[in-house]
Amino acid sequence: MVTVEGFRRENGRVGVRNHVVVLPVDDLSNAACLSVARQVPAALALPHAYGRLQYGEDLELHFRTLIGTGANPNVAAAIIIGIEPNWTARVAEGIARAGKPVESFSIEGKGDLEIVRQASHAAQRLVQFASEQRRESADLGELMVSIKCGESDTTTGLASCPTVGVVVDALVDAGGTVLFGETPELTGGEHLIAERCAPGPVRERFMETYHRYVSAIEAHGADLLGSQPTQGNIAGGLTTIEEKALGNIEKTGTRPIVGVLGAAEAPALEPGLYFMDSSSAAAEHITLMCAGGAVLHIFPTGQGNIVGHPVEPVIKLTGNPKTAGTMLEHIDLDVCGLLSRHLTLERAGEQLLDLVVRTANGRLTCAESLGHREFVMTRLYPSA
Amino acid sequence: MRDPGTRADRFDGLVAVAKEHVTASLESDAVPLDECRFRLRALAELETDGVGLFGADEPADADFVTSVGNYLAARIGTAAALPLVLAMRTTVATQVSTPRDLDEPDGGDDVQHKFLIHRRGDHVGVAVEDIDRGERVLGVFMDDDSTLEVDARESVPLGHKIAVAAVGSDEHVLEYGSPIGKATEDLEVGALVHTHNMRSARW
Repeated sequence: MVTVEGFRRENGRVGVRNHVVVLPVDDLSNAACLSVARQVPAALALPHAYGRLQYGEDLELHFRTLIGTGANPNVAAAIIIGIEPNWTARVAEGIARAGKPVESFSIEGKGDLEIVRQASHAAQRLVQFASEQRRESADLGELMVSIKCGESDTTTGLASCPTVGVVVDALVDAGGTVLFGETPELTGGEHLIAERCAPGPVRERFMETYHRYVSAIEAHGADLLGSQPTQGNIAGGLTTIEEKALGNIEKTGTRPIVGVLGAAEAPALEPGLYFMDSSSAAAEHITLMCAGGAVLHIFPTGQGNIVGHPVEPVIKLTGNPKTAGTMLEHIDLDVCGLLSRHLTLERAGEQLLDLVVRTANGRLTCAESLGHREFVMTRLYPSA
Repeated sequence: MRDPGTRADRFDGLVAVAKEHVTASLESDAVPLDECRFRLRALAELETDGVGLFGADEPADADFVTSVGNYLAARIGTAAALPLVLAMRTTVATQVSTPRDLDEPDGGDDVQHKFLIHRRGDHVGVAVEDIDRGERVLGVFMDDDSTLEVDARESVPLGHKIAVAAVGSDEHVLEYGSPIGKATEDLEVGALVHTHNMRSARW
């Protein structure tokens, strides 16, 4: 049994980082959150662009994303700041259900400076609390891992995505939970995913989710020709969405799909491979997966995507020798040997699994070391 | 076959060979000074990190060189690491059994492949190196390791597709054993296959 050294949280879940986040409920509260993180630099502000006058399903997704991010096991404690008290309390209470320390502040009637003063005192207490949390041994299978590729090209389908597939199978076999998504990017291979869903409700929900996403694209009067594949994909040799999808699907491994999740939705207790309805845009996707509870992201890239996330570390690998040579500061693992056949898929998988364990144990990813902190909320439609 | 010894026994020798190679490439002006310093710094880090990274007690076989090569590739890039790996292999790997995945990249009687085909029955392969127009190139099927040769009718850059079977206009093009779109003109064996002669069947 492979073990990792992680942070076991109050609800039993295992994280690989130990952040105290300062989370704004809305765009107006970014300034105060950033001020708090300047006063207490060990705290991590998560500014974002939204949170006012949203409604319906879009608002529910906003709350689910904020609550899921704060509740993520990579977070030791959370400070919530919002403009008004009701929505602020809703987010704070949602995170507190994970059992971790949460303190919340609303700015109306007090102003930024007073709230920054109060929240900074709280942040100082919480980072000192977090600093006494200790890593302890956990089974590899206790980690929830997410996957998504970016700036794909044909080398992702040949090398980096199959390598991830080997690790996904190993994680699932170890009793782990793995999330994948990128709904529109399954086009051309959606039948292959459907076949791996358990017959009945899981398969039906998958096909319904897929068709709804593609119909929404069509309802906007557009097809994706011109943006799927992207210009970067095409430059890398990918010609059609079908070809891109078949390469992407390589990274999901071979195990059955046990559940279908809405965006930012946490899986049930049952471990295994889950599909999450999500955009294929890297930062949005990882933010949704992190909110669903994933603590480590594996990201195959072809032409060289540089994404990182503030809460969920992103391990990047490439099988493109040009990218490995020109963008080495962004590439955690080079599997170009698969193209030259100096490396077998099995060994590439072993190397990636080893890197997953080391990263879980605290090794900084390339993106973390470079300060990539892309925290991006998904919107479903315009605000009121 | 000779006992390869342990990785701990051979580690210093391997690093020394790699350093010599870098120094030689500087002396021959093949590589600029700054780049050589960068590579030597990576080798110094390799020495500091030590053989423990690779399993000190395991046999010093070809896999050992691969692991060291991958370590170096992650730091100095694949292109820079490859000659060092080849130099290191002359000291270690030739004396021991060589797994199939470590076949000489350009040695022996084998011609190095320049494209890979996912599955038998696919219509296209993917270039893993830049292919020149008119070049006769070797491809390997990834599902059964069989090979085929194709005369490239056009230049095919790394990552782009080369037709390994003729496909008529408006017929499905197969890769991964699945349709990836339709040909918009007749595709001949050896043709570059991309957006100019194929399109999505979905949108």
